Amino acid sequence: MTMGLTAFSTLVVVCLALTACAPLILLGLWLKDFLSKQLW
Amino acid sequence: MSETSGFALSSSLGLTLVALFGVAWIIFGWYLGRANKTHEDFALAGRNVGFALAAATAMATWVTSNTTLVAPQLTYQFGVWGMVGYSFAALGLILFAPLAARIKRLMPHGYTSGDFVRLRYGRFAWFVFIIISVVYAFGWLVSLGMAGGILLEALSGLDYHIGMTSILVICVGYTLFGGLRAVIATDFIQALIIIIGVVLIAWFLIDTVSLESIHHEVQANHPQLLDLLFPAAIMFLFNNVFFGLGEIFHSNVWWSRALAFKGPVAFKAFLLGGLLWLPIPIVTGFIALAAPQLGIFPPSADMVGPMVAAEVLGKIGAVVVFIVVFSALASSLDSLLAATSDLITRDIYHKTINPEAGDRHLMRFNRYSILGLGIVTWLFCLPKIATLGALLNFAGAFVASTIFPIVLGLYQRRLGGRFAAAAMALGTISGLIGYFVIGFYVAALLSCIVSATLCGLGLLLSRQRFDWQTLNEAEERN
Amino acid sequence: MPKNYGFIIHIALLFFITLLARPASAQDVTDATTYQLTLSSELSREGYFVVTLDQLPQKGLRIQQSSDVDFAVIDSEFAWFGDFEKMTLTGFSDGDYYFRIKPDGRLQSNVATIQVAHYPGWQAYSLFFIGLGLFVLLVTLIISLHLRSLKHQEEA
Repeated sequence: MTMGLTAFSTLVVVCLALTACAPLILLGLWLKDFLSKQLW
Repeated sequence: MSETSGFALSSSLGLTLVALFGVAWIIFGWYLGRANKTHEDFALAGRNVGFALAAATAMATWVTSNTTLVAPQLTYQFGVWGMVGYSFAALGLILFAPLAARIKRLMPHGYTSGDFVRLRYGRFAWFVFIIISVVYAFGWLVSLGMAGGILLEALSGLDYHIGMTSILVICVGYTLFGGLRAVIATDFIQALIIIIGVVLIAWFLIDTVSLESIHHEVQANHPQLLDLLFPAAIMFLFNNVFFGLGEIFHSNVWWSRALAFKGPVAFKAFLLGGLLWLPIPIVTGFIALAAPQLGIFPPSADMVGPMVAAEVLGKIGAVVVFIVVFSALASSLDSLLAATSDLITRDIYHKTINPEAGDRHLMRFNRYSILGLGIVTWLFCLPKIATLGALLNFAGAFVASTIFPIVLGLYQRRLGGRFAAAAMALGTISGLIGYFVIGFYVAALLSCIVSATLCGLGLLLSRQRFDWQTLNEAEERN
Repeated sequence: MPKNYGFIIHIALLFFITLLARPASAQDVTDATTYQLTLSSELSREGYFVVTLDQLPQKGLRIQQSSDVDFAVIDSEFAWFGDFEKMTLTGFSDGDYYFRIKPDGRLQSNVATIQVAHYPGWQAYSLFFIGLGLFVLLVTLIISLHLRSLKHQEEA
């Protein structure tokens, strides 16, 4: 059973998009904690 | 890439990069360390780490140099299942989320995973557990130290000993000044560096060689890599999953984090950390599938990721990969230094040798043990014995035996110390036998099965009712 | 992450060496040479293996792959990458494979052979399902125990 082009591309592109979102999520959370003085 | 020197970066540039990182991190560690007034502050960041830093540190520590380098290797060898299977390691973080919440509730004043095993299962089980922990932690420390030296040497021609010493000095330095606070704060920055670097490489790769052409080339000439029923990959899958679960469930690296996070944050932080980690091995792994398309057939499979990155990005790629790998090494090395020194200070020194030690004394001892650990690691790294690292391939047999004793110990009153100790000891032994007699792909699996069976027996046969209050050990403050 | 601390050690090393050695820097010698080609094993259970030369490769070296010893049909050709003595090939299905250096008058080599036989399905699936069973047990255990502990906590 071979993985087709569509499935392959979707997998990679979705994972790349999710990974690219991670810094934004982390920075957003940091900002939220920072502003509410909840970092530590 | 200079043709004359034969190295990607000149020695001076390599040294400058290391020095810049080193000075920045040590000053940062010192800055953060000013807030540390008690041993609790130092070892557990005051038990008050917020959500953002907690999630980032969970993710960054789990991104070891393996994620950036071995994920492409496994993809090159096992194809699609290699990368998907590797990303299953995120399950370790995700499944640890409920355990972390439970740990935080049961042991609001606890310090280490060793504390838990000692109080829950007694001395003998604790002894077995400490052996497993030390084998694992120390092996990992030494291989990370060596990797640092080898990385710098290969990149810039800087002597192995200088490189290895620098990365150890840097990590020991900021951990020494800042304690867990510094480890967690640097992890946050390292997490950002790692993710951005990885995304950059993957993005340029897709832009240069399209996904379509990668798929076409692999399908035509390396069809097995796209096979969703690849036998070897299917066979290794759960062994690797149990290896990862064992690493996280037992290691004080993760327990000290659970204990350091703010009360309600522990669960959410591990869950988010796991979810953020999940796609990363697929992004780093898929890079390897572009190798045939680019005509890259590496001398050994573990080089494939960086080779493709360098091919696509050229010299900038070399620098990006260098920074990413260096950050990944540091984010694991500092965590291990902190967590293992806590284990030595708390479990071995305070609870066994000097129970009278006061808070200041413990803080000082903790610093000495970070330094000592750094020096011992350095001594082991000196001769550059690669086989030392290779020996640790069977660490899966050790750590997987702790999964069920830890989980049941956290939730079940009935499982007694003798069965837990037997589960860990016999699990490890059967895993090792499996490793040498059958193959590496059964070590963690077999260890976990034997340990689970013994735990099951323990639940059936044991009549004890453990009192959870025992875990909430009162601390005397001098 | 799971598996292979040993790798970490080699990886970094191996990795950067590779950044340096590119095809462009391969040896530019054009002497007539007979290479000795060896494969990492006679049998590969995973579909990947390492091809090793007994000396550094010359520029423009190509490896030919065929499913018969006479190379009547050339199934594939790989340009030798960089100036390494080793090259890892991957993604092979079951079968016998023969390799040699593409003869061009001055270059030649012996014929090396490898059998690729992936693990039998029963073995792969049984380990997979044993692992899956244990994993499902563990996950069920964690979830049910955790929910129960939350309930107790509310009651308390």
